[in-house]
Amino acid sequence: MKPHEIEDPKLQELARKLGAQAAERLDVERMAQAVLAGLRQPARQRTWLVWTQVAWVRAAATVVLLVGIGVVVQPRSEPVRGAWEDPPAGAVQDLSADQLTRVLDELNQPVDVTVPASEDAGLEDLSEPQLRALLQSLEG
Amino acid sequence: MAQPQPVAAPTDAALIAAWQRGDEQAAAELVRRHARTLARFLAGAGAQEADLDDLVQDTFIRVFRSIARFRGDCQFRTWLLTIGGNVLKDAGRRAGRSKVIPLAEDFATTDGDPHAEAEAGEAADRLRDELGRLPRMQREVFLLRAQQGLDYGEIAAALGTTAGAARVHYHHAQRRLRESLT
Repeated sequence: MKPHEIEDPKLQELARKLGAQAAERLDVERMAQAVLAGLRQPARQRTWLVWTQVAWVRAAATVVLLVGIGVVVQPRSEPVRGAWEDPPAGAVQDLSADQLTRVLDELNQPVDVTVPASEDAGLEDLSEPQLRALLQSLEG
Repeated sequence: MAQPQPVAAPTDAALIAAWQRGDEQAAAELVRRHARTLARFLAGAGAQEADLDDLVQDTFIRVFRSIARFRGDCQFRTWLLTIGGNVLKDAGRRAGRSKVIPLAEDFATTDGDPHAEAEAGEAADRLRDELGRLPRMQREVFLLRAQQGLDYGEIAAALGTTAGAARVHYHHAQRRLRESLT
C-alpha cells in the first residue's frame, strides 16, 4: 500500500465525532412513534402533494420556455419610417456624378419663405393714409 | 430447573420481513436501532441540527415505503444511510443552500484542556467546511468508511459502484481533508 493510501487515524477519529452529540440528543422513542404516524398517513396524499409540487414546477418551466421561444421567434416589426428619416447610406453612394450634381443644384435653390409680418414690425413703414385705414379698421 | 434461554434479538432482515407483513412494531424497532446512526451520518454530511429530526423521520418513511426495492445486497443500515444522503440532498435542493451543522460543540468536551478543546474545535470546523466542498460520492464514501466503519465492498454495494472505485473516492477525500487540517 502506498504511503498516501494509509488511512489517517486522526481523521477517522474526527469523523467519528461528527454529529455525535446531535445524534445523542435525538429522542429515539419519539422518533419511532413519529415515523409510524407518518407511515399511517395515506401514501397517496403524500404522493399527491409531491406530484402537485412537481406539476407546478413543470408548468412554470413550460411557461418560461414558451415565453422565451416567443421572444426569440417573434418577427421583428418594420421600423416606422419618419418624414425626416435619412435615406439609406447606399442610396447616395449609388448616384452617378451627374445625378449628384442635379441633387446639389436643387438643394441650392433659394427657398421662397414668406414670413408673416408682425403687427408692430411694419408700422413705421406704413404711409399716413395706410395708418388711418388701419386705425379705422381696428376701431370697427 | 432449566434456566430460560435469552431471547435473541430479531435480525434486521427478520424485522423487515415482519414490517412487510404489516407489523408496525417491527418498523418501530428498526427506527430505535438505527435512528442515532442515521442522525450522526446526516449531521456529518452537513445537516443542520434543527433539521435533523425531520430528515431522520423522512428517511425512515421513505425507506419503509420503498422497502420492496431493498434487495439485501448490503446491510439495511448501509442502505438506510444512502437513502438518508438522498433525502439530505433533496432537502438541500429545496432550501437552495448548503446546510451545515456547527460541530464545535461536539468537540468541546473531548478533554478538560481549553487549548486542546480549541484546537479540536478548529479542526472540526475545517473538516466540516472541507467535507461540504467534497463531491457527494467522496463525502459519502468517506463518512461511510471513516465514521461508520464500513468496508469498501459494503460501501460499493450501497452506492452502486465497485470496491476499487470506493477506495479511490475515499483516498481522494482523505487527501483533501488532511490538507485542510494541516
